[in-house]
Amino acid sequence: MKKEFIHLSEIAHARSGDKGNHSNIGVIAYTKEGYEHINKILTAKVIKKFFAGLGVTAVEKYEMKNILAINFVLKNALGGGAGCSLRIDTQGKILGTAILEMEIAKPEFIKTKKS
Amino acid sequence: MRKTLSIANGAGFWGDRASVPVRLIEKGGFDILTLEYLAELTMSILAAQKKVDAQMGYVKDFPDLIKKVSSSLLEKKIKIVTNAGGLNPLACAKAVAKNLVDGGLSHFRVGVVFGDDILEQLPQLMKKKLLKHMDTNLSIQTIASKIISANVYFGADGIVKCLQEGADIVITGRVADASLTLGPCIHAFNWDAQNSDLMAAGMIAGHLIECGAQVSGGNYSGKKNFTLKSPGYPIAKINADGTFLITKEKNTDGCVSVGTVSEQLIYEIGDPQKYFTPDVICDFTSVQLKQMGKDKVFVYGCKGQTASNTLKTSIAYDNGYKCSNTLFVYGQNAYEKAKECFEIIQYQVKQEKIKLISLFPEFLGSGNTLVIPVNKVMQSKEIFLRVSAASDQKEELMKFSKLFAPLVTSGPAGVSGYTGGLPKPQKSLGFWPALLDKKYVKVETIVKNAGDF
Repeated sequence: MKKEFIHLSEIAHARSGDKGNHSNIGVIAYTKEGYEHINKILTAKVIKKFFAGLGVTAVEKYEMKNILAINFVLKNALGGGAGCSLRIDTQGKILGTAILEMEIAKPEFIKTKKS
Repeated sequence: MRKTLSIANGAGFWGDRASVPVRLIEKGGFDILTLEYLAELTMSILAAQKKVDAQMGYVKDFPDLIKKVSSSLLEKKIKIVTNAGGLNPLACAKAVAKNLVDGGLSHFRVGVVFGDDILEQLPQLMKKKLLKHMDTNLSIQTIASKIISANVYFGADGIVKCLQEGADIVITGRVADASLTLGPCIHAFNWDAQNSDLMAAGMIAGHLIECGAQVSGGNYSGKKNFTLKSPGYPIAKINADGTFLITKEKNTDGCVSVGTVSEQLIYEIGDPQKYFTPDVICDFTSVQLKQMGKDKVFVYGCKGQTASNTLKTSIAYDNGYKCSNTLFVYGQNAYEKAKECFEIIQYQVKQEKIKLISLFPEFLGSGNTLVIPVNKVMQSKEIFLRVSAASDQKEELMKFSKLFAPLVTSGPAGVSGYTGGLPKPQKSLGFWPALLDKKYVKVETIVKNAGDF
């Protein structure tokens, strides 16, 4: 059987911002099952690899089960920070939207739509 | 004793929609309006303005706002707490007082919180090695000669003192954004500063409303069924027991839901169990959210721990200059042509011996701007090539900017968008976040009638 993929945006939403040269991305699941799933598949290693092109040096992962969210802190992700970065997104505002573009294997709890 | 306090926010940063605080004050229906203007970057812009004119260095929009709304302020019985003072809270207070007097409100009391600006003390503090970088072991000596501004983040205590002395308007310099909300809570409910859970509740309410419409539908990335033509700005209805409701202005666009509030709760935080503020260490994992009907989210369960003995200090320094140029590239192989244009710029920079510290291209429209694996280069027929450079000399960046227009006649076909004059180099600012023991700074306050300033 062919493996099916979905975008992370089908099971979660996200917001990102800056703290100096670091960025944080909060990924919030829509459901409890979704939270358990993203907590399993979104490891610090996966996030670091996904944003490797930005020069991220380390990723910290924190659980916020109370709002079904995972918080990632991406160290040195912003090319110097808001005051001196040469990037168009100096403050990491779009990284949350970017992570929702991640393709993940379709989890079992998502019902297959009738074709 | 009060049982509830309604605190609205009408600005999330300097440059937020200016009509919003006017609308909020004219409509009324809450007790306190907070206006948050100071990003890290804003402080260094204000520092540059103060250097030119010693009477400047504050957010001018605020006295301008007071001019427009003074009669409604009186009628609606609204108090304002704002960090519009920036690097010159006293000058801001004078300008506000003048506009209050002109509006017939010379009896209005204006409070000022200052003492956060430690630029003058800096040589002594550095000598004694009292400023520790938050992330690294770097010595401040490496940037000492280039420092533009240095401010500690105060907590709520100065604001509380001003309110106790009857201030109708409190103007601060650098305070933690959320303390603008905690201060009025401590004052109204006579909260004990030793009660960390209550301190955390006030700070978390402040954290949720401090970015304006970002909690009420703006920047929401989830599935949405609302419009954003003019989103309502947030109002926190806080109870004396530390629980509160997040809602927004009536009859406005936007939305307040568990989703929008969750996104703002997680915005710009690190370890959620240890969110350090000058007033308390908040535990964001303790916060519970419950939808109570349309545009109403109840927040409860906030926990905190006693604050640390240090204050975050924001130090900005001169980091040279930066400049960005753009070219519009069109055609079937637009991405390849844009890459060719960048290679030409690289070559020309070398040929002309232009002294740059860095040179950085972005191919906007290619889907590759963030260089992440899923964003493979798309076959777009239109690419906006943006090339940025940094240099310690302005003149070198002027030479860099002159390299772009010639590509229209001497580069590949389908290149345009060079008109509109040469972009000017901007100051590049570095930040040096540090920690300083609380005992080396002192919160100062003044409260006077507007007529006495």
